[in-house]
Amino acid sequence: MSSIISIKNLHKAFFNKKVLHGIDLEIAAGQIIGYIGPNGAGKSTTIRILAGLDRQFRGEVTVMGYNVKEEPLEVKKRIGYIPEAAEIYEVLTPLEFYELVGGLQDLEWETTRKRAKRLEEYLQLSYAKDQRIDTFSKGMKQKVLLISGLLHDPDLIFLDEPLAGLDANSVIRVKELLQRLTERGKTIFYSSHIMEVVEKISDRIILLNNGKIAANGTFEEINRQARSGSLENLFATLTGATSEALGDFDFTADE
Amino acid sequence: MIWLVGLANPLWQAFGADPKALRLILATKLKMDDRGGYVMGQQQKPKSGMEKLVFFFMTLFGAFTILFFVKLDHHATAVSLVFSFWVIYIGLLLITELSETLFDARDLYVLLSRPITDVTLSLSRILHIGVFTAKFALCFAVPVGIYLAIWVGPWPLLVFCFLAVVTVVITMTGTLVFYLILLRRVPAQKLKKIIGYFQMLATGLFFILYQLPQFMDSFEGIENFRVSGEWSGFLFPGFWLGGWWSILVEGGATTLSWAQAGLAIFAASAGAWFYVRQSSNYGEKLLELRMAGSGEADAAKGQGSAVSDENNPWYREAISRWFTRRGVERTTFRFTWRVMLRDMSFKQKTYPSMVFLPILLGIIFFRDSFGSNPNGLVFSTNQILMTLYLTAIVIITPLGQAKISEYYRASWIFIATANKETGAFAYGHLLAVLGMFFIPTMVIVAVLVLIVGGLEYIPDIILAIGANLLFTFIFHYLDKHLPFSQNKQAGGFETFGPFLVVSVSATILGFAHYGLRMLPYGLGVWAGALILWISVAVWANFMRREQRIFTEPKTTD
Repeated sequence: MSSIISIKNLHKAFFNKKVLHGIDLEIAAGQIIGYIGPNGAGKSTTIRILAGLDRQFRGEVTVMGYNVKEEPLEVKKRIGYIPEAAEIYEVLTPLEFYELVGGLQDLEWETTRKRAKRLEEYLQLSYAKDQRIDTFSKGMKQKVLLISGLLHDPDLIFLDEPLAGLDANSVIRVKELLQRLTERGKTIFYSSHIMEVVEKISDRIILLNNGKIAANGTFEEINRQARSGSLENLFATLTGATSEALGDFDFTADE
Repeated sequence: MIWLVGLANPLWQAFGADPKALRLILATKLKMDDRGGYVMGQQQKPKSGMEKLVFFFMTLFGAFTILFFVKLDHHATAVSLVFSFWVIYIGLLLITELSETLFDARDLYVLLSRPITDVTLSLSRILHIGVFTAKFALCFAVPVGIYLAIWVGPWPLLVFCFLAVVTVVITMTGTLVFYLILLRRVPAQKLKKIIGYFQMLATGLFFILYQLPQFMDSFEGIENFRVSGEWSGFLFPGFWLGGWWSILVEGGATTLSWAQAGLAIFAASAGAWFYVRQSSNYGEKLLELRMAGSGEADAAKGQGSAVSDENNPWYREAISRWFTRRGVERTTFRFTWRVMLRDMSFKQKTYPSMVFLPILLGIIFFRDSFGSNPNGLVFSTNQILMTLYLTAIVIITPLGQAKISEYYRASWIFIATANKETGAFAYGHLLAVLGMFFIPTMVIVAVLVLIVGGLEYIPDIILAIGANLLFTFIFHYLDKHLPFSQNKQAGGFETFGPFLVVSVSATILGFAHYGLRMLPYGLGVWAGALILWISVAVWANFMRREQRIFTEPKTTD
């Protein structure tokens, strides 16, 4: 199977601080890829590079056959991207926001409207007519963002912490939605800190630590190496955050 | 400053505040002020030379108020007018600049979870605002103080300093009590809007106030004007201070002077007392304000609240259909239009400047026309041309502001989508600003010019519109920001540079226009208009197809 994402020797630094240290990755289409790692590991940076938003890197990155450095527009046409904690122009209503996003993706308004309506129904997002986004809760805003990223029916979807702010029911809905999308041949590449979800829905898990890939495979494959039982333990083991390291910590000990 | 506040610790304790906590909170807030930090979620720039410039201008305004002492025979009235100016200016400043600080609730999660009383919290706020206000009051006071010290004497200077403190207390507590009453009486969501419009109104008044010093010299018969010690002296808080001047400096105070002096002290004490009294549950109220706008979707849905405010979609749609192509151009047009209608910070920055044009024109027309011509109101070609070219203000200000937003991080959407002809963003954005501000204003100005000057000014109007559009294009080309993609604290040459270029080119083109009028049969003006309109059409066409490189918006920290 040909790779939908191909990363070869990817290096990225912000000024003198190296963030990614030579990542190599091949990802086949039609999968849900859970991209996990501790804070500051370089997850969001990788996703921004893959989405064609950051071209200041070393290495070769192709998405759906297009080199992201040379043809970012071709990549952007074919992908959906939802950044982490993304802001929205909140003075707009959801429909107006969809109109903006759909228009920028060159979608007909009628198509945008219909797709948005179906997605809103699926994600159980309801609001009053003409209600602005600035009156929405965090979870509702996150749903608006998710919908806006799917409007143009992209083949490859990058989601940076898509479950942030969602309640338990909404998390279930989004999980189901992601699975349905892969059934339609879409590829989902997402980052999350909710290990239980990552463990359950990901076809493949990639663990990034200190800018390097620490583990790559299905949960079962990775677990065979570390024998941790759960992704949470596995994460702690591979990133060096085990409870043994804390010992008998007492922050009032010197008093 | 902290030390000064510490001197009054017994007083704070008497009010029921914790002096130690008060000092810590105040010290932290002042430290944050010096470093910039965040206000209402917006990154503030560290203090820069701009603050010094503002202080310089305030000192200059303070110097203007010396004219009251020079012009008026009755110094108690001069004092009344000086402090009235303070009350208005500082009051407006508190409304425009400090409303956000007053209602800033970011620290509440930290402070309210600690053992801190409401009184401590509200006192820390008023003291924080007091420090801010004191800086401006000092700027106003220094020139007058120097004048009094040299030409009047040390005792009047001391009295002036005492009255300055009373004025600051009256103004601060007056404004804050008004806001606190609003906070307690008005639902949080509505209050946000009220504050916004109040700020807008205050900024408009500021523009008017800036024009006042130039009239100071033209008042005739002002020497005998009296307000202090008169019945009219009760009309405005600033007037009350003159009573103290009559009692302590000039002597011969009337019963009314005593009453006004008493009223001033009463207002200051009652304001402070009322502020402290109103502070119970202050934190909770502020939190309500912070929460307003989040998690209320279901409630709003139940009430079927429609919050869209597009009052004239037919006009918008007409412009959009006639002048923009479907796709990115029209999308950006409609988006820009909507945000301009709704973004409170955009309105606060833009609408007051719309007041500026009529005021400026009023001054130019009526002062110059009445003053110089014995036959009454006569308009010269100079005035008419100046009017036509000053209309550029109506487009440059909103165009600059339509690149700034408190939601600037949301502009990631423009760079995350695939668009080759990025000039379409610029074109749609520009058209929205032209449609909303320039076209209506230019229609009014053109009709007025035709009424005042007659049909012979038609070519001038056509030429001036072309020139104004050209300035707009230059400004838009030089300021390469995407719509609403720039932090509202942004500044420097990035913003000021294009404005400067346009100001210079507007002046040059204005003079050139005047020169073209010298040519016979109006040929020069017609030829100029033709050239400018062709340039505008070519440029507009180029803009639509341009693969424009915009300034990368800062969408992440």
